[in-house]
Amino acid sequence: MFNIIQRIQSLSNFYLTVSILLCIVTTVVSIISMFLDETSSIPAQLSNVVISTNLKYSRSFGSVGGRPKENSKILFDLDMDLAPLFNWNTKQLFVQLVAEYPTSVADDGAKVTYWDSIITEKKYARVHVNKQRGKYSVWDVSDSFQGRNATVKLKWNLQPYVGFLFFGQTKGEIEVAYPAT
Amino acid sequence: MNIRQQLVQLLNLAMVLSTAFMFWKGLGLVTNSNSPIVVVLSGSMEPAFQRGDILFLWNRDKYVDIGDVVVYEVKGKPIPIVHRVLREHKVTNKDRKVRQLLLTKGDNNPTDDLSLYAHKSNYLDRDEDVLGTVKAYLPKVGYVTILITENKYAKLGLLGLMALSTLLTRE
Amino acid sequence: MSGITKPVNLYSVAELRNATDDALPLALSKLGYEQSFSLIDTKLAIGYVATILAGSLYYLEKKYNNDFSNLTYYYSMVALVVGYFALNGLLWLHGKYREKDIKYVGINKNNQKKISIEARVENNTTPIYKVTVIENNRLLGKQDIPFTGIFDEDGFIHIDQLVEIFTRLLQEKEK
Repeated sequence: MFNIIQRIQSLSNFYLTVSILLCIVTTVVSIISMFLDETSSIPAQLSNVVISTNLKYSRSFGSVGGRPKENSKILFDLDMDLAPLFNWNTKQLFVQLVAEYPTSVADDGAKVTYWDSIITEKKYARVHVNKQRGKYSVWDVSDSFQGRNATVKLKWNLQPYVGFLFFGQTKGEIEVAYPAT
Repeated sequence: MNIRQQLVQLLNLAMVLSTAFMFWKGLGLVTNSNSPIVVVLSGSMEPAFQRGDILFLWNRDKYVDIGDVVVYEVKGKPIPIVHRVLREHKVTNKDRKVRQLLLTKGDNNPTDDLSLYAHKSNYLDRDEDVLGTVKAYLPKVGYVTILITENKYAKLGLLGLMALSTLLTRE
Repeated sequence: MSGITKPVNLYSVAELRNATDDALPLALSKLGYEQSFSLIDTKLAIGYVATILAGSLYYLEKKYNNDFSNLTYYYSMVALVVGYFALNGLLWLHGKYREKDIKYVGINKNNQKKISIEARVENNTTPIYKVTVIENNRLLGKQDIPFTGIFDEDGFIHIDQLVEIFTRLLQEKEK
């Protein structure tokens, strides 16, 4: 009886040690390969970005107590190839089109997502869309965007099979103005 | 003499349990998150996270970033939720402190989380609601804890096995 | 106390060593020594204080609902975690530098001389019990005892043989 318990214990200790080592090696190799693949400077061609606005009155569009809330939508062209982000430890990529605009509180006072997409295979890593509509109707914390200038950029998040999550953005952001109200 | 030997064995058992607990607490202090490791319970972030996956959290960044995956817990609803930040706004409240407001959404959900938030609130508050952002990932291993928390026999069995093995084996 | 012993597995060096460790006090008491428990008592005291710290943190976690924004809870947690690991470190140092391989400390009832017995096995495949006897900080003797000499074929330990070995070890240097 002692023997069986001792054996189970040493066996499970062994497997635990091996799997911890494996996780560490995986993580280190994956960080190094991210670095070597120069993933921090992947170019993306963003163009013809147009933001339009309209007023909404329902809570699911941000309106509180029936007050009119300015909502905005986006139209864009995008051409990029995220193939360098696909290595042996890439489970999926989450890409999102983000507009960042300054507010009275901070220069990066607000960041909002207009469109996103999940890429699970390398053969879909090339994204080439024209006149693409955004997925979301976006509103600000205030009632209107007040004709602000926004920086539109494409951010990505690499989800690994195991280890650290990686975040980054492509090169090539674009300045866009919200229509004056 | 014999009582000392039994006290030593009991101490060994107590040390195994207390060290595990204190490591958990220590990790909580280092990451500044009161639950630094969570197990995914739903499929709302598929295909990134599946049920049973383990997530490691970090809660020392002043602001979370758009695109980050955060774990949040709304007051009155004790189940932590793992979703992605879709929008973030910095605002000043009445006492002139800058607060960060977040809108989140599960990758696999058709709509944002507005309906999950506390009554009458349109955003999450970074300081009050967020337990941490996901930094690292380990697949599947958390199924053990799902089994243990959802099946009381598995829980008792594991505890019994641990007690038995520390009491019966020396060094 | 009588020498009730269970048979051990003769193929497990760890079990042979444990059984021999456990038999030391009995053997030495037959030679007129009284066991001193100060080392093991120190270990128990540090260990149980550490356990109490962990227990109180468990209690506080329930009491404060694990709310990190409560400063009382947060700072108690810092103190308890630091204290716990400090005591653990102390326990490790105690085991490594004071207890080392000492399996028995005792005082001779006649001449009040204090002996400590260090014992270890080289590895889990060599069935030899390596013993060092120290009397009042002075090396008294060393001996390698094969387990075959003190256990019989059925796995029972023979205290008499152990007593005999120690009698020789303790007398040798007294001349």
